[in-house]
Amino acid sequence: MSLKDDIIRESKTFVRQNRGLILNKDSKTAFSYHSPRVTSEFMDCAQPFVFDHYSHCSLGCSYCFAYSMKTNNPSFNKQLHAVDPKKFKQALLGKGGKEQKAMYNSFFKRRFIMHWGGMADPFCNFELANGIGYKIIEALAREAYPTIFCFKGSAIYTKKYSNLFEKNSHNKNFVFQVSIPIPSDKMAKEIEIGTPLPSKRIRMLKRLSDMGYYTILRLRPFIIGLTDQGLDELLDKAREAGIKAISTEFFTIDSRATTGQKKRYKWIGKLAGVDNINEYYQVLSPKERGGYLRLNRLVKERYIKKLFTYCQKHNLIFGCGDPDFKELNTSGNCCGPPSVYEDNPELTNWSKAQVAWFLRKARIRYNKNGGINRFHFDKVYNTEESPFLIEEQFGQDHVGVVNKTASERYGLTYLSVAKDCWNNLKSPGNPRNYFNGKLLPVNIDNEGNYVFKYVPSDYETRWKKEGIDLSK
Amino acid sequence: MKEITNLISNSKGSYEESKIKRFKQLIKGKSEKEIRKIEQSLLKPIPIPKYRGPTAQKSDIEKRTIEITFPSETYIKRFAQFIKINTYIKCNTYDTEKLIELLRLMEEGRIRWNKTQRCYFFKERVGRRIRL
Repeated sequence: MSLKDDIIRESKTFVRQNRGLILNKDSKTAFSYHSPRVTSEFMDCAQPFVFDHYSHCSLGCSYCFAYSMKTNNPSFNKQLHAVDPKKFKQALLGKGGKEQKAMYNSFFKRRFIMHWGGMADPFCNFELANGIGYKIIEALAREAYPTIFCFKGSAIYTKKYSNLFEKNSHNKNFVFQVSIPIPSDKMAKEIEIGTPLPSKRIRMLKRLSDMGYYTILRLRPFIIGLTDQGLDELLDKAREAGIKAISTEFFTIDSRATTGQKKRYKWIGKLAGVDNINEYYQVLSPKERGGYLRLNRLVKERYIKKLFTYCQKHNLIFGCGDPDFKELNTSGNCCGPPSVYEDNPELTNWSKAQVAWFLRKARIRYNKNGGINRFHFDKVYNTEESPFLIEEQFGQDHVGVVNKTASERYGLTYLSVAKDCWNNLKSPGNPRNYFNGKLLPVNIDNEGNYVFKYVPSDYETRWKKEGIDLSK
Repeated sequence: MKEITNLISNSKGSYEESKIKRFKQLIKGKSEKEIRKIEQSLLKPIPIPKYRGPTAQKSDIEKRTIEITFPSETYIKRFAQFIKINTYIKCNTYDTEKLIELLRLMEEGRIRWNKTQRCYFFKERVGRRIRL
């Protein structure tokens, strides 16, 4: 059997098995899925408050990073679990137990924007069959709670969901990020098995924009050799559909991938014109970032330039979730929500206590007057701005606790995780390594933490010479 | 340090520029497959300059960790009669609450040792055993 047949057969079987799958409500663990939570990428994420209502997704996208994460997780259970909608509503209203109250005090009470769809599609076939998300959306709509949806899949295309969003469109509290990393319908059928076609997703973008919602084109993951094929046409169609922002992040490879995942990588590599995708990524990824391989800046530059200049020309917000070129974010939030929005100011209520916000400021300052910004730990991770950083209840959720000793776990918070990473120059998550030299340590402050400085890149000089304005 | 960083930063810039120019020339009229090969051979990552300044504490745990060395293992066992301490796993200290409570009592003057090294607790002689 060829690789193509193998991958498509496997994904199609997965999608078919999951279509119409009803949650076993009699099972004790049916509603045991733990969410919302704080993302492990909180150090440079503007929307660390993330939510998924099912334990996994029913779609069969070959590039899915959540598939990679979940198949590598020994505690992952194949059985479908969901969030308990009652507990969610309690947390939303400040009721319930210790956990719900911590969630309320750090996020819901502050009307902090919630990101729905980080590790599973909020409208996939599970939602179509079970409708648990519908109840949660109703509760969010009642409270006009600021929420950003990231999706491709099925349920939202039905009248039931469409009507719900239309009915509540006057609040403008929902933002929609539609993922279209493969522009052509034909190619999408080979990679995004069981998902609505890109052309259908564009039509949904238009429908939601016409309702008055803030919509974003999500080019994630940007797969070199695939996403760039037909990109110009896709950008124009999305703009005509009324998007306000474009968000991108490049495809990554996990060197700890399982056999199934490696097969998927090989398939993507074949379609993208790479003989050996593993070798391609090994050679072109900076070693300082560890085993999660991300291509270096030089490879990505021409694509980022195209997207950045397109956004500037058409007055769109540009969001870059990739550690490289993260400084080019025009709102400081790489998902694309605005930093100023008169229609609903709550949509600007996302975290500024993270590196991406400060990187953007540093880039603007340098390109305005040549000034170089320094990054101090206590100024970047401001606990008044983001109190979740010192909430001990959340510390135990962080993936990092697994290798901690008992005394280290005691009193662990996201702030302490960030501090360890900030001060460990060998860590792949350290700003020097993660941003691949865009931030370099220059000294130690009075608290004993590294001080990093912004390092202007060569591309900034070259782009400026070509007339690209980097001071906004 | 500032000079070194600037120097590396500048040299990195010109090197990057030449790579990008060469890449643009080479990919003209090439197929996607050929472009991937050119990328792989030409656009390798540029090393990050090494940091040679003062180093920060790697971890906050190091700041609050102390090592106690006893004259022999017998002393550990004697000590462990009162406060359970796992001395065999690095950085692991259980029952620290009892140690902290002991510290508080000593600060308040409620525990003291006399010249004969005997411990007094609430002015009541308790010998070598500390009852918390």
